[in-house]
Amino acid sequence: MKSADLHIEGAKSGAMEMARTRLVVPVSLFILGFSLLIVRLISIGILDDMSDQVTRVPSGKVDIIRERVDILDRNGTVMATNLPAPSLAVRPNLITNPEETADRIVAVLPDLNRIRVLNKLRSSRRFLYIKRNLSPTQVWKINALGYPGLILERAEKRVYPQGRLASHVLGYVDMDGKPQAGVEKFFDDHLSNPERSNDPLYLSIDLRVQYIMREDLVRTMARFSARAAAGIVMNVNTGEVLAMVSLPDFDGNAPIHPGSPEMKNRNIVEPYEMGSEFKTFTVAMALDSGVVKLGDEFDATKPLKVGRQTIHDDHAKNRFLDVPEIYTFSSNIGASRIIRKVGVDIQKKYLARFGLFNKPVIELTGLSRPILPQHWGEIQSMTVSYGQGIAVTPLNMVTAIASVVNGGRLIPATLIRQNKTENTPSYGLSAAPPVYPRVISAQTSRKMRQLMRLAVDEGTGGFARVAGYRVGGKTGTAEKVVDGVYHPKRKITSFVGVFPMDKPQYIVFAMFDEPHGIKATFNMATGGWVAAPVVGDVIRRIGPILGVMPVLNVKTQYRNLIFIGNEKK
Amino acid sequence: MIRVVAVFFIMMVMISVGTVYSLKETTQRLQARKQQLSANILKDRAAIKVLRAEMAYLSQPARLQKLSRRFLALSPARPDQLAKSVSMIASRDSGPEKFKPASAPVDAFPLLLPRERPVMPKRDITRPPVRKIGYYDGISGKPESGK
Repeated sequence: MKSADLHIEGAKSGAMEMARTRLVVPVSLFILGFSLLIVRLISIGILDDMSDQVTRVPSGKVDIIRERVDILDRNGTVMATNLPAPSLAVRPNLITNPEETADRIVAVLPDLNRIRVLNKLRSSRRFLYIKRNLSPTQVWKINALGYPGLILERAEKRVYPQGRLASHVLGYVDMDGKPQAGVEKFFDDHLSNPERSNDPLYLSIDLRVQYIMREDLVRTMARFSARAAAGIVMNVNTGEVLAMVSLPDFDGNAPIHPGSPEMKNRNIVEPYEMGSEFKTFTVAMALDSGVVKLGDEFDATKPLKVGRQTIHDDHAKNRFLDVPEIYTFSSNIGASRIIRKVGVDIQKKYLARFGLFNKPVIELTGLSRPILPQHWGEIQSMTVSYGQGIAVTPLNMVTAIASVVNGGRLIPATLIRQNKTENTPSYGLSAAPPVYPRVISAQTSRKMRQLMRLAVDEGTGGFARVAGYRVGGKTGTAEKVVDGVYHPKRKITSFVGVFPMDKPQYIVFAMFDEPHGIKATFNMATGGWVAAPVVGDVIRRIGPILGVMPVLNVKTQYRNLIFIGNEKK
Repeated sequence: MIRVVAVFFIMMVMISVGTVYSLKETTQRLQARKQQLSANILKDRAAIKVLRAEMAYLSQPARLQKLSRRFLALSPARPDQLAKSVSMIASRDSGPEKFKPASAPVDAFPLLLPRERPVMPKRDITRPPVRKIGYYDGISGKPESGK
């Protein structure tokens, strides 16, 4: 650092030297500092990963798709989800060539009107929407056009990948994302909570069972040209609904027409007169109250006259019938005589216990109250005993029948999966099982199971028989009230089946509104001809899926009490 | 002496400044990396959601049934095709159709060490109990026999 051409002699020279040496320190510091910078600069330029520094990412804690929580079936298959569906918007002042831009946009989105698009592109406003809910392909194509004036705004769309399959259970959301029906509406607090976007709602529905139920109903509905149909599959021990179908149905992805007939979930919205299935309750209450014994016989030799009404049998035997025979051959006269012996008060008490005086219980909105006789005298009690003059929703019916066969407890229906799977460990802290109200004794329930089994094996529900699955059940055929009188041609036919009858697990219900007889059924459109085969077919197909082990050659009890040919077996 | 102390402190200051700088730099870089990772996770999660929806759409039961009818020789299972254990199939041999298991159930023949004798699990040997039904069984409300 000593410069040769500048020298100062004398006294000042010492001070000068000192200043020079002192200057060395800061200068070297500066050099050090700058060389550090240079090294760092080179290292950034050469060594560092470019993308790390360049990409500006939004700090993310909230999910990208977050407006609505998913709905899954009990096996985790997606039933409803939200997908990104950006909206296409435009800033007209950034569009240089509106004609060409409009052509290109219409080429990508063919359902748009070119002139309208052109008007929007030429508009004097700053920001305009062109189209909502673009598909991923369309987004890609719009991006590929590369116009800076076209903007894709983040938006979401509710999608139902299963289409129509479970539309009445799920309900739908309108254009603004507001839920309008079904589970979507009932669980909106959960579903619309962004903080629970990773906590999907597990329904008790099993899509495979739902599909089988729907397919069978659709086929039979077309075959008998029925107006509508409904079907339920429920676990009798937990109340979990595995399938709930109402036809006609709708597609939640398509535009919705509220108020049209396909929007009605017939399982909960509409009370129907169910017909003979009510004899199940009549016999159950008679046996449970101890008024009637299984072997008691009732006179069914001729139609029963009560006041101005005459009660007929559809499958008249014209002789004395015991209780299993009344039930198996579905004798209206017999049921009326039983209820006359039981009395109106006990009948009302039991029907109330079965939950048939209240709205059905399930996690859906729009439930209907049953329609009861205004005056409940002896005549009414007799017609109610075989299911006339009282109208309940199918779900009411299914819940009540489940309580008859499951050992006598009324378990409310639910659409939510009960966490009893092996996937959720209990950590030894099993909660106390919920206490359900007892409806009938376990003993009566056992007898009723055998009677229902008889009705399938020997009686009106023969078409519901499935080898190995010990199906029990009851048919129901009721005439509809048209202009205040019962119309003999317009019928509600239904069948409620339970399997396996020695240890009931599932209840299967099918109902048809105004089926018309065809040649193959000898123009009959009764529950035994229309609905029972559906239930049988559904059980045949869902039994293996649900892991119900078939057992061949199981004998039915009480067959000895039934008079089929000439003598009792 | 003073000079040595001064140099020492200057060195200390320089070192600590350098350390602080590099720490801060590293933290910032980690921060950015973390942010990017979490953003990527969210992006992937959204993509998974789309894929799940697509999978649900493609595995619609109606579609699977159609494809299965076209490409596979599967038909709905009959009740007599199901059995809990091998011994139950053996007891069915007398029927018009002979049943042969397509494969031995894996859990019935556990892999054992060579020195040990293979032992059949006990539960598979027992036959299902035969139900006997009496003439008036159950009418008086007695529990069903065979249980």
